[in-house]
Amino acid sequence: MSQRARVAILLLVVALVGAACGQKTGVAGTGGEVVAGGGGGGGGGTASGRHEPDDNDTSGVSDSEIVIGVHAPVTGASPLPQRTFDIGKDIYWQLLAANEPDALGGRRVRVVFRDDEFNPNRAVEVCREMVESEGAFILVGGGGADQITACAEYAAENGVPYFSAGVNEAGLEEASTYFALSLTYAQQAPLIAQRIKDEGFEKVGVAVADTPSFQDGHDAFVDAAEEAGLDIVADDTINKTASEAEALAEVQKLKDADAEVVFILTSPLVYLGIAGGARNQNYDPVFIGPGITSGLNQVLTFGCPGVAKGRFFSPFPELDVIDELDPDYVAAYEQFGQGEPADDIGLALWGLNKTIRLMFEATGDELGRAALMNTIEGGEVFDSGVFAPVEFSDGERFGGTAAHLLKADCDTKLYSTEEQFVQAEG
Amino acid sequence: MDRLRERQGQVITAAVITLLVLVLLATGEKESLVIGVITGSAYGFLALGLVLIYKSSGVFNFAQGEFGTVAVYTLYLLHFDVPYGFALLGALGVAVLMGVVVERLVVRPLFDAPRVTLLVATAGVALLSIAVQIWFGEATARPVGRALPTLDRFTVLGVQISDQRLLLLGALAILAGLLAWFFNKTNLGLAILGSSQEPTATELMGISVKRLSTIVWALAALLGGLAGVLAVPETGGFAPGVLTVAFLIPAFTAAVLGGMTSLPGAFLGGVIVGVVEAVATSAPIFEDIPGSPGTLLVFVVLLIVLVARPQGLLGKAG
Repeated sequence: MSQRARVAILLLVVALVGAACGQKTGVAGTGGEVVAGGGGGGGGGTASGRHEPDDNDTSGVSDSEIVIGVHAPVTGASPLPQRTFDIGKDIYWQLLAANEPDALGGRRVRVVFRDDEFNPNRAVEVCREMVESEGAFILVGGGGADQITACAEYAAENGVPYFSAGVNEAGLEEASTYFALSLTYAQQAPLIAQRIKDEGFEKVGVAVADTPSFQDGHDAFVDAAEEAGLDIVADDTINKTASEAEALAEVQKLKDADAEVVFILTSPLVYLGIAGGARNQNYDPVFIGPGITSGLNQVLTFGCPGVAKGRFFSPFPELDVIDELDPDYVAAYEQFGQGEPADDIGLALWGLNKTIRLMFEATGDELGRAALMNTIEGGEVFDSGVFAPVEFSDGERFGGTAAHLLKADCDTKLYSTEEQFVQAEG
Repeated sequence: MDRLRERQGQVITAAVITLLVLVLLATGEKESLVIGVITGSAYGFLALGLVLIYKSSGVFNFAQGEFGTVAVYTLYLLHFDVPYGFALLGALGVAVLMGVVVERLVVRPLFDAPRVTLLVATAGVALLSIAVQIWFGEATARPVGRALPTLDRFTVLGVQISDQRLLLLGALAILAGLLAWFFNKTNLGLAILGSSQEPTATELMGISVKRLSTIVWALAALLGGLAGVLAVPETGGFAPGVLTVAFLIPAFTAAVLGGMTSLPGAFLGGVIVGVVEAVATSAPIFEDIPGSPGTLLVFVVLLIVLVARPQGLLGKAG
C-alpha cells in the first residue's frame, strides 16, 4: 500500500472520529421532520389547535368496519412473541363484537398487525403500508420508543391519529395526531425518585440507552433524584444494542460507584445483559425504571435470577390483580384465546384497545380522524379501569395520570402488582 | 528476508499489545482489560471457525454464527430430557451435522463458482437458519444454563471470573494452538492447505478435495458449536440468530485484525475487540461519543492496523 493511500485512510479515520465526537443529540433519525398542521392525509391540525372538521377523513371506517393498524417489534434486537401479539391484538374487539354487537354503530373492528423489527425506518414503512394498503383508520404502537416516535411523526404528517403507551416526550410533543395513553418516562421520573427515597436508598446509579428518545426521561429522573436528595453516584449512557463487553463494563462502573439502586432505561435485552452481568459479579442492586417491555413477564422467564430485584412502573397492572380490575379479560382469553393462557402482553393491548373504544364511542356516529381527535382533546376523561384514566386538553399529547408499580418475583417468574394507580404529580 | 519481515511483524504486534496493556493499567482501566479478555474470547472462538474456512477455501462464511446458534438451541431443547453433559454432546453433534449438510448441499455444488457466490450462499444459509428458528419457536428469548455453575472462581483486577469463562478461555487457547499445529505439522492439515491453493495438484496426488472440504466444514461447525454452547450460557440466554446478530461482525473484525489466515491471530483479534469495546464503554474520555463508541473505536483500531500491517497482526503477507 502506498504512503499516500495510508495517509488518506488515516485522514478518513480522523474525520470519522471527529464527526462522531461532534454529533449533536437530536430526534431519532427517520428521514423526515415533524410537520405540524398535517399533510397529505387530510390535516393533522397543530399540536395545540383543533383538527378541522372539513378534513374529517373517514379512511378506514365504513358502515360495517373500523380498521386499526398495530406495529411492534416481534423480531430484531428486542423481540416480543409474535403469536402472543397475533392473538392479543384483537381479543378485546372480538369480545365486544360478541357481547355488544350494536356498539360502535354496529361496526366490527379489524386489527392489522405488522412487525417493525425494532427498527425506526422499518416502523415508518409498516405504518405507511398499514395506512395506504390496509386502509388503517388509526395507528397503535405496541412498544419500542424509537419506533413509536418514528411512526408517530409519519402519522402526524399524514393526519392519522396515533396511540401508544407513554414513552419519550421529545419528538412527540409536536406530533399533532399523537396521544400517549399512559405516563411518559419523564412523567414517571418523580414517582421513581420518590420510591427510591421512600425505601431508604441513597446511592443511585443511572444507566440509560444512548438514544435521543430517552434523553428527556434521563434528564427528568436526574432532576427528580436531586430534588429528592438522592446521591447519583454514576450516570451513564450505554449503547442501545450493547454487546456483552459493553454491558459488563457498565456493570463494573456501577459496582465501583457502589450504587445500591440503578435507574434503568434501556431495551429489555440490554437490561438483561446488565442484570445478568451484575449477578455474575456478585453485585446485587435494585433495578428500577419506567417500563413497558422491561416490565413484561417474558423478561423474568429469561432473566431470573439476575432480574430478581427489578421494579418497573407500568401502564398496565399484572395478572395477579386483573380479575378485580376487569374480570372480562381472562374470560375473553378463555373464549377467544385459541387455547393460549391470558398473559401480560395481551393485557397491555387489552388496556390500549379498551381506552380507544371509549374514545370511539365518545366521538359518536360521525367517526372520522378529525372528529376523533377533537373529541379526545375536548377535555373528557377516559377511564378504562386497566390503564389509569387519561385526559387530553389544550393540545397536550401526554394524557396519563398514574401508573402501576410492578415487582419481579423469580419464584413464580411473574411480576406482581405492588401498587395500583400510583398518581403522578400535578 | 520474508522470514525476517514476518518476525519483525510479530515483534511489532507484541510491542503494541504490551503498550496497550501498560496504558490500560496506568489509566486505571485494568478492569476493562479483564472484561475484554473474557468477553473477547467468545469472538475469538467464532473467528477461529471463520479463519479455518477462509484458510482452506478462501470463503467468508456468514453461516458460522448459525452453527453456534443451532447448537445452543439444541442444548436448550435436549436439556429438558437428558443431563447437561449429554445435551452438550448432542448440541455439538447437531452443529457438526449442520456443517456437513451445508457443505454437501450448498458448498459442494458451488465448488467451482466464484468465491463471492459462495459468500452470498453462506449468507443465505444464515438467513434460512434464522427463519427456521423463528418459525419453529418464535423470536422469543430463552434461558440456557451454564455447564459449570461457579461464578466466582477467581477475582482478577477486580473482576470475577466464572468457571464457564475459564472453560471458554481454556478451550479457545488449546484449540487455537492445536489447529495451528494441525495445519503446520500434520499431513491432513497440509493437504487441506494444499487443496485450497492447488486443488488439481492435490487431486493428482490421490487426495480427495471434496472429502477434505467436508472435514473442514465439519471442523468449522464444531468450532461454531463450541462458541455457542460455551459463550452464550454466560449471557443467560439466547434468541434466534443470537451468534449471527451479536457475535458475527465482531468475530469477522477479530479474524481480519488477527490476519484472516492466522489461527492464533483470531484468538488475539477477539481479545483486542473485546478490550476495545470495554474500554470505550468505561473510559471517561469516550463518554461524549454518541451511539456506539465501542463499535466506532473497534473499526478505528481495525483501520489503523490494516494501514500499518495490511496482512493483519499475525497474518502472512501475500
